[in-house]
Amino acid sequence: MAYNTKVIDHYENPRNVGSLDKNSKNVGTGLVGAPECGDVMKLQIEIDEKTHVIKDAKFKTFGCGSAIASSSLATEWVKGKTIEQALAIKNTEIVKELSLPPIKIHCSVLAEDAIKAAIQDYVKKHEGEEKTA
Amino acid sequence: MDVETVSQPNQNACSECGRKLEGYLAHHFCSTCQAPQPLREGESYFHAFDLPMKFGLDVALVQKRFYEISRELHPDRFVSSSVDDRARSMARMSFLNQAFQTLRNSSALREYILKLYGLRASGVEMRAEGRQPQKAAMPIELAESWFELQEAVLDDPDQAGVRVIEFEAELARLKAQGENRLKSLEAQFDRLPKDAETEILAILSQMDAELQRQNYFRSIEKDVERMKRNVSSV
Repeated sequence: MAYNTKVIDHYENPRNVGSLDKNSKNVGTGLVGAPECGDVMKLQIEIDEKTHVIKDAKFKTFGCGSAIASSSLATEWVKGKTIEQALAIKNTEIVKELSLPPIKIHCSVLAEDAIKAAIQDYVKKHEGEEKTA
Repeated sequence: MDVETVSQPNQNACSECGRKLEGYLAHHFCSTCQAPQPLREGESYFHAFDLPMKFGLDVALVQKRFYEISRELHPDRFVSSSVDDRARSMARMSFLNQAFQTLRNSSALREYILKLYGLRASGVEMRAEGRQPQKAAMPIELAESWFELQEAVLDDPDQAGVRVIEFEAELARLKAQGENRLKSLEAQFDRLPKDAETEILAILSQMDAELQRQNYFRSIEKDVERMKRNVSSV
């Protein structure tokens, strides 16, 4: 199967590979796995507590080219967005941007799930706090 | 031996001589005029063996019936028959072979029953019908340890051997647990009356989710095998 050039670009030059301190209060970590193929994806976001804007994002993915590209793209997209904006990212937008074929759609679903899981983790860390925003 | 009969689609009369058909042999051909019967609409593998739809089938009985029916449907018996009869006996024989391969194999049987209840349509078909394919809940602890294991192997392939073995043990434990749950769901299904549609579908949906988890375990298992070839200390 021939990969789309955007997928290859993300695969060969992945953006934001690495990790953030998962114990930091401002970091949300989402680790998700794909039931279809055994791929696992970890996506972390660092959030500005005052503005709720995602300052930084890192990922690490063990999986196919499309899974790596999807998560790389996801980190690019969430940076600079607020939590609400990041939650609105749909897997279909990733599919469109990377021209993923039907059998690789689950990779984009995984990336969307990873964003949601990371945000959920962040929100959980701040549960019980008074909402100032 | 549990041999309750199931309701048969239009099975009562021979397609040729119109005489009453009875028993599992007569389902395939008429004992009076010897005519092989055409495959009936909605005929299932269970009908073919005249057995109730259930997971806990008596495999020895399935095999016994398979041999008996096969003997009657053998092509040699129809060499001088009409073209129609020969075609029917062939169609029956081929149906019977598929039925036998399915009923004797527990995982094929699971797939088959789920399919009969519409739970095994491909994702594409389900989306076309406006249904969402069910997403298997992935055990998150396993995803985590799988991720960590791959990181460890990447960092130091020579030291990761022990962790690979630990991970395999964990995977085997989860697989066995899932298989136990599947067995218990099968037993529940077998106990339900066949008109308890809601309960049946609830059980089969749970089985569907369990089977997807099992598939997930198997795909990770394959990845672990691949990984082991690169880890010298295993």
